[in-house]
Amino acid sequence: MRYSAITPNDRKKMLQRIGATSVDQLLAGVPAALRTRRMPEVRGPVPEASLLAELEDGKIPLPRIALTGSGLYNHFIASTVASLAARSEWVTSYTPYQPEVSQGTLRMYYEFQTYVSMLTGQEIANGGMYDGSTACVEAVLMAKRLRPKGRRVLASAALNPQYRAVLATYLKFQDVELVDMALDATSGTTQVPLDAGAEDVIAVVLQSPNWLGVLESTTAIAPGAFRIVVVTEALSMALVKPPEADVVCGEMQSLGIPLQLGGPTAGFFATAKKHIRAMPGRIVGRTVDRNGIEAFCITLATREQFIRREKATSNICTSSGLMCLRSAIHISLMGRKGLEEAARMSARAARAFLAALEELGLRRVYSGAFFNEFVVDCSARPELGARLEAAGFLLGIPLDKHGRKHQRLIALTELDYARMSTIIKELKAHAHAA
Amino acid sequence: MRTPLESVIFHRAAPDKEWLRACSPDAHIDSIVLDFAGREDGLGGMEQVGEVEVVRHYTRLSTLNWDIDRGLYPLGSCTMKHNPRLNEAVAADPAYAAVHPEWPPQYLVQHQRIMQELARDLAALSGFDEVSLLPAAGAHGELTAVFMIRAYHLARGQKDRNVFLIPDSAHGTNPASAAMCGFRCVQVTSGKDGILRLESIKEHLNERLAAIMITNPNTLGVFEEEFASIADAVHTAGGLVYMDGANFNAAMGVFQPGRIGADVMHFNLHKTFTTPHGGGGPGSGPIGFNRNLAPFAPASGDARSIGPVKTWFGQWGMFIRAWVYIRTLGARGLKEVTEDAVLNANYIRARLEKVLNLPIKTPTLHEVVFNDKDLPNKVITLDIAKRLIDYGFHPPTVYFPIHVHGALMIEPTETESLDELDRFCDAMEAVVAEAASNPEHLKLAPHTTPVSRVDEVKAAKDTDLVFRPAARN
Amino acid sequence: MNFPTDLKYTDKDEWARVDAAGSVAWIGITAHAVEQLSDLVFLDLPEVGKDIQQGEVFGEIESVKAVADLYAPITGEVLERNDALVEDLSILKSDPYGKGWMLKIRMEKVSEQDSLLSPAAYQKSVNDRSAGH
Repeated sequence: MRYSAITPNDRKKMLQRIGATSVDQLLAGVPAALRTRRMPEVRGPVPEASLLAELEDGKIPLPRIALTGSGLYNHFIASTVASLAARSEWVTSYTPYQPEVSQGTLRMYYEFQTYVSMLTGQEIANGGMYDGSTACVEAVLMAKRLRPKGRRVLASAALNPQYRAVLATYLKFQDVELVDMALDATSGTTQVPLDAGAEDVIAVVLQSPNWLGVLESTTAIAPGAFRIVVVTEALSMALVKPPEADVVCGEMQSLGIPLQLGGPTAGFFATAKKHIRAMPGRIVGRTVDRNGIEAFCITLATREQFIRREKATSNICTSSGLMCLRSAIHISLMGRKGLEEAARMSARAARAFLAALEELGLRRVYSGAFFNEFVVDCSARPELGARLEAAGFLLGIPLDKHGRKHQRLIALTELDYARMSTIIKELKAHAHAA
Repeated sequence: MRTPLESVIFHRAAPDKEWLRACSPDAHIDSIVLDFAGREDGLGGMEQVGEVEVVRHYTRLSTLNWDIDRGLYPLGSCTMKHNPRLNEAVAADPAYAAVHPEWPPQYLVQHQRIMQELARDLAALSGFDEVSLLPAAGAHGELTAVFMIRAYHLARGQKDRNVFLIPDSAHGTNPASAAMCGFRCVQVTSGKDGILRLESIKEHLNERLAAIMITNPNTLGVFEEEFASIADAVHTAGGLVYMDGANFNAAMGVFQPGRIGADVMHFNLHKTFTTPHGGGGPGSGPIGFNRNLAPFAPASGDARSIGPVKTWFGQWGMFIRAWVYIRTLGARGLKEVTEDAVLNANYIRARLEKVLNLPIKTPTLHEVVFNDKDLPNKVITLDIAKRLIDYGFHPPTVYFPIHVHGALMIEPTETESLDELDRFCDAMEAVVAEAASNPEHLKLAPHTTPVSRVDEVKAAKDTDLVFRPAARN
Repeated sequence: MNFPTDLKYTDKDEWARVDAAGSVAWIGITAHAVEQLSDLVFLDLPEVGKDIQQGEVFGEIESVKAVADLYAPITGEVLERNDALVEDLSILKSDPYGKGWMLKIRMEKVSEQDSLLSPAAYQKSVNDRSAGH
């Protein structure tokens, strides 16, 4: 076995020391009747070069242009991020339960918490969640702990449909009703009902920019409502401060994390300091060591499953440390000015491309302010998307399966900004070839 | 040679430092006016650091960590084995890392095939009929299974089945997951030999029973020899059996949970299948289940499905690593993994039972639990763990499982050499000897780390979770 | 260890001091419990006006690495809550039976105190448990 470090001779010596005649004897605790008799049907072993060759043969070229978003965005990631994050000390270490030998990871989590706090404008943040969809669920479950009389959760119809579906799964078993809040058909913003602050409402969940790209506001929400704002395009926060909220949570993927077919990414979770004990997830705090030197450790662990068991604030154990690290490195490299610049480039690229689509007779479906993503009605050019796709140019995501015929959700980033003239030239070439 | 103790990055930040530019400005596009209201708070006080300093900072921070590539990381229940570089290299390939799940299916053919193969391999190893890869981590897989169990009972009109039996040896995630679905957790006690007996659950075998959650081998490393008869009895009573698959590293090629009574189980790809732990994730927690639960699985296509628990396909970046690992070893290699894991753990047991108390003497598989009973001078488990650091080893898991007082839980995994195991045992012996000869030195340990024992009371009382430049001087 | 003789105890390490009339009681946790928990960081107590039930959980106390449920030694309505204690848990260490009281309760059933442990019985319970380790 490739990764074994025990030689046949070692095995003999070890068995002797143990006082057993064979390894099989060590497995005697498993009653014979329960033992597997057949070797499982698993292919291998395959040596490295053969495996790589097999993979190479199965590869399919990537699209040349892909304006896809919907909660996952193809942003710039400096080479430095991957290089630093690949260090063994980050990759192969465990959750930092022993602070004396984990100060690197602990300091990184504290930095991540601080960056999330800066981006969201909230007082405190945790050390990350699995992803944006589960961060949204955890925010709702926290609201439920804080408002035990609540029976309804109001969710925007423009909450990312996958987030809504995940939330529905969790709430199905919680004796809680998930109610959709309709959209204003013109602006694409959510219409929050006037009774959102009622005692039986656990929380109001908005996404901003919402799934359709439109920026939301919470200013008109009734006082007393528990406002959860979800952000799936984290770079937007460099320019647009998330609306006033009791929790701001979402997806960090835009900041330093590759697409990876949707996972792993990292979720973030930020709230007011007064909710600290109700907050889910791992939290790292700054303190001192025995000699008064600055030190960091996991804190308020009594909220967590390994201590509080069935009364824990969440069942989460493993979170998304390595992805949080990538985000922390990315944000540090870019700095405020770098993030703002990339955000401006993304927003301008989206507007430049939208203008080009409008020249072709296509129109944006909603009038509300947007960041870098928008829905476009392609009914004037119903064949355009397929024709571009055949040329390796993905015109966003078709929304037909969401009951939006001829609509497409289109996102651009600073990487598209860098190729703007090519993108628009190709768009026009294929449009005019019709 | 020592570098100064690196603090957090904000000390290196300034408003006028260089920033990283993604691409060249384009004056034509930059003439476009942005029509939304921008933020006016200076991005919460964020500044720039500059690339060279960022590299220094994260490199220095990394050196404050212990990691498997440096040496043994014997955390019981965590399966800290070697993380192959090959897995990492493949996963980082843009063909696998730079792919969006909403692309048309023709771009995802190879990815879909790899996911199908991984699911099939996990099913073959575990004996379950089907596998869902979706859950994001072990506890998430557990929760998914708990949802499925709830949906199963509801579909049979048995909404009053609300009791989950959980042994005292269970991971904390078990009761936490069950409680998140509204189940009542009833703790059942394992015997003095560390084995859960059918006898001890009999009183709970009634119409309230929803399921039992059993870790097998359990957290003592002991195989639950009555697993099959307990499963039979639970099934007869109308309940289901959840197996916590955290210790699947001791099962490959030896037994198949899906064939000996478990209805559903989670895998930890970041334990058994070498995807890295990454300082606390990301993990990946696929679940295996039998036909009776299949309609309730996420994305089962059946109206009774619980629905998705995560976006898209799950942790693809972990799937491809696990797939590469499985292909690299094959069935025979995976069985050797289990055999060597068991051999290594038993070797440590044989050496250390001479110097440490072994509270439960039942034969163990891939891990072994000692405790601090009989140590002189009021030396406790924590002192042993901390002093071990000075000898160049990460401590074992401590104070878990909770039903063993002062537990020291050691899991070496199969990837350690005999030489490394011997050095670890030598170090443990030396530390135990110090408990008699120099207990004060132990109680102040570690002495060689960048920071010494941390004031956790202060951390919890004066919570400081976010850097505030103004507050520091 | 100190077990004041004017108190009644539970085997879960709570105490109750019942007034002469048998109508009001002060409750708290024992020095033994405080020692076991060490490093206390948080105390959660019910609000004034709430009812607590003998044998049921009425609050929680946390150290850095453990959480303990607090079980009511007697049944009744919370008349007062010791907010000074919530603010400064070190009082539990210095004076668990005096300034370290947690709640003042209007007792519902005078007879309930008979089911509690005497100082000697409590001491035995503590000794038995520590022998079990």
